[in-house]
Amino acid sequence: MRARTIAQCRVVAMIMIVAAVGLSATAQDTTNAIYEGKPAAGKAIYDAAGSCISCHRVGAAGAFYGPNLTNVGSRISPAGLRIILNNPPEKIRPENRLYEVTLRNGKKIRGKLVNQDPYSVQMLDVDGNLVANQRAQIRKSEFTDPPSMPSFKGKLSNNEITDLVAYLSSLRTSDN
Amino acid sequence: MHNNFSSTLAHFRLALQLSLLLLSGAAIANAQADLPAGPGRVELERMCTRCHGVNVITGQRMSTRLWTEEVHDMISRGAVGSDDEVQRLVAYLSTNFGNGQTAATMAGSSATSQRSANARHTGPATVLDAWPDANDGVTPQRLLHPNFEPQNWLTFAGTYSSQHYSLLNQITSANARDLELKWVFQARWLDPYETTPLVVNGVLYTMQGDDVVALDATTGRLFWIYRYMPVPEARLCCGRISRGLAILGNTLYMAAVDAHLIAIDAKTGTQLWDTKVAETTSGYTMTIAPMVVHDKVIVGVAGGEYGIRGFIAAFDAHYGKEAWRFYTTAAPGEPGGDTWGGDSWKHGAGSVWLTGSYDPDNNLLYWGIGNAGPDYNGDVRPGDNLYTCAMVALDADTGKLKWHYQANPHNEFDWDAVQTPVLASIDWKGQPRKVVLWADRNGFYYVLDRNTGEFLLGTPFVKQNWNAGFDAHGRPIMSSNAKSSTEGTKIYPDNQGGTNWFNPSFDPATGLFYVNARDGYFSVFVKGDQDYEEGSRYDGRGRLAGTRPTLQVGADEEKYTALRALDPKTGKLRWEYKLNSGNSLHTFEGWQTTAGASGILTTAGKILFTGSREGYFIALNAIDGTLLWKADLGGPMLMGPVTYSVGGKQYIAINAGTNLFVFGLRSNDGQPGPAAGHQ
Repeated sequence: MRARTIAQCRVVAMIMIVAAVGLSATAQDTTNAIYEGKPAAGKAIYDAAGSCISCHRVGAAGAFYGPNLTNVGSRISPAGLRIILNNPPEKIRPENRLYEVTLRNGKKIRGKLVNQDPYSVQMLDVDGNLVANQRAQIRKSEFTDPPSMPSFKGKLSNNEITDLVAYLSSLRTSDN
Repeated sequence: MHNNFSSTLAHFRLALQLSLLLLSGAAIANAQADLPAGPGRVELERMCTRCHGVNVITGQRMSTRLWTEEVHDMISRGAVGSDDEVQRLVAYLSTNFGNGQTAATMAGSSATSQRSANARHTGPATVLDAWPDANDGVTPQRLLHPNFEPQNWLTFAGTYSSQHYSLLNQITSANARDLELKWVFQARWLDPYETTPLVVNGVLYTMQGDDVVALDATTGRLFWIYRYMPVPEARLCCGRISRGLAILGNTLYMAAVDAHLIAIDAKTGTQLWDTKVAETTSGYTMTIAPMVVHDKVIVGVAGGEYGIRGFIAAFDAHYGKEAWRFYTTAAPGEPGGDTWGGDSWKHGAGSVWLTGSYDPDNNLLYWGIGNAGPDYNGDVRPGDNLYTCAMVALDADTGKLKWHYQANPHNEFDWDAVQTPVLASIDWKGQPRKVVLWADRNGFYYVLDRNTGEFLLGTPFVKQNWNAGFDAHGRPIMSSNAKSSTEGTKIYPDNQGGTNWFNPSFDPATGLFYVNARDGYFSVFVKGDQDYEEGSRYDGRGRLAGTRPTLQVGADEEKYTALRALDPKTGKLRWEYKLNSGNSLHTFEGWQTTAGASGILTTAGKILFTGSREGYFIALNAIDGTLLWKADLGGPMLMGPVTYSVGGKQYIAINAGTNLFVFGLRSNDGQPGPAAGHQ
């Protein structure tokens, strides 16, 4: 009799604990702690609400301002992706800075500096062209910073960020 | 207050439902009902569904390796299981949700199947959803009309017709003497360098061994490098060779030597996907440059010396999924399946290691197929051995065979018939006719009807002693002693052939067919017994008493390699230009150099470029073969030259040794050339 009472108490306690977890979770969001991110939904956010595609490249599509995300799921853990989305790093890595050259004819080229030597400069410009210029043709060249990545904290819900993380985590070289 | 209370109540209800859900597992049980039965399912339910639903799994299609990594990743996140349980789980996942699985093969309801099919795009292949329509970069339309943009070299052969003829005409027979070196790319590579570059809008894509590089086409400076590490088990008969790339949209395709097809972002050098085409530990490899037709990437496998079963296969260019496959050794029940004794077709070779051609008008691919295996002993494979040593015409959409012409039934002389099919329209007995021009390794020049495969002409272009004529259908009549034997049989040409992989050219302006021919070479073919063992060499090569089982290759005193200009209608020699005497005592080391010469390029400048094994790169007048210019590049040339133009300046590129050399006209505008630069 006593054992059954204890068992009943355990069940009640478990329900209460789970309920408390649920309350805690819902206090932050309308969802709960086991919400599973949906890559497809995350991709929609990537393309639209997040505007990620306007800066980043995935596969053979997207822009060239930010880091290439084709294999980001192999490089950064879901937890790391979540941190970056909520609190983007302020400091931009050297390889992700923009380089701008002004040619003697006045033409400006902006993009990633991919290679250089004492006589020439090779760039992937922001339009996706691989271009090379002789330094003799360049009047001025300098690094500039791209538009910094916005924090999505507060702009996207936790579930949306979870979806986005699920999508980004799925971005890894497909091994067929 | 009321609202707060309601909200709290709602939360409590939600939490209660959640707890009940967790306690009962009812929803999970429902989802699990669709899981296929079999060993490992219990482990999946116990280890995986504690944290997530089954749809996370059923939506995935991954290789065993990736499933293994995935499971171990889950263990690092708290999943618990013994080694045996993990092993069963991985086996279950690989079997039911592996690469080769489709939704239809799964147990479960149609709804489940549909859900799984949809979910395939949300698994690891999600990246591919970002693909644009093929309206960017090098579109299929651009590939169909390369002559609209002769400044680029968009495919292995420059055009689908494989004429290796360019409309660029800045460099001519009149100014060839003004050619000068513009830049050199030194490939960090020691194996034979047979890569043909692509050039797209001022960017030159080529390879150094297993790596792909993007270079500025005017200076050779590097934009990016993609490094590929083939598995060390890859078996290669003849050196680690990669003959080049294909492009569609902004994606490059590489056939890796370990039989993987790789897609690479042409802008950044980032790998997009990797498809295993065949098992390299069984002897399969790929050295071919892929061909893109519409939305498919077409490759073939090599490994004939290792008892493979050859095939040509097409893959979806966006996803890397196999679309069709044509086996080059016919199985019983298939057309040609009665041309193999026993189960010899299973290891009958038929390698495919050079890129074919394509005719958009009839949507047919033309591809030359390698020799039968074991190479030198046909006793174990009685019959004609279709479709080895043949040209096949395949429907580009389905891979279905339209016609074939077998140049050497039951070949025992290693004469891979992979040589380039050149598509041309010529006057044939007073009527224009679409034909295939084909200079075969067996020393014969053929003309075949492009639509039907009808044999129109077969005539030798070098010394030969195996063929005593043709029957009415073009089947060769073998000379009486033209068989491999235990005591050795002397056959012309040798096993390296009257020509080989180095491409011929057809110049529609001169109307001539040019081929680099090896004349006067013979082999003594000796057959030996050999059992097939997976992954081991299987060539049937025998030995003469007191010798090692090494093929004897010799030559007449007057042997030589020459650029030969043939009348395409008759195969008659118009003129020739000797590339080497064939008797040099100190040629560059390596068996490849015995094979003769580089490929050939002709242009609208009425000029022809080719190279020799001694390292001379030469320009000839395409009309009469007069030498116009030459450069000693210090290494054998093993691929065909290409030409392109950037900023109104025409360039010629050629591999020699392990370097890529690029030439252009000496600048006549008072400015030094791009490579000279200035500070």
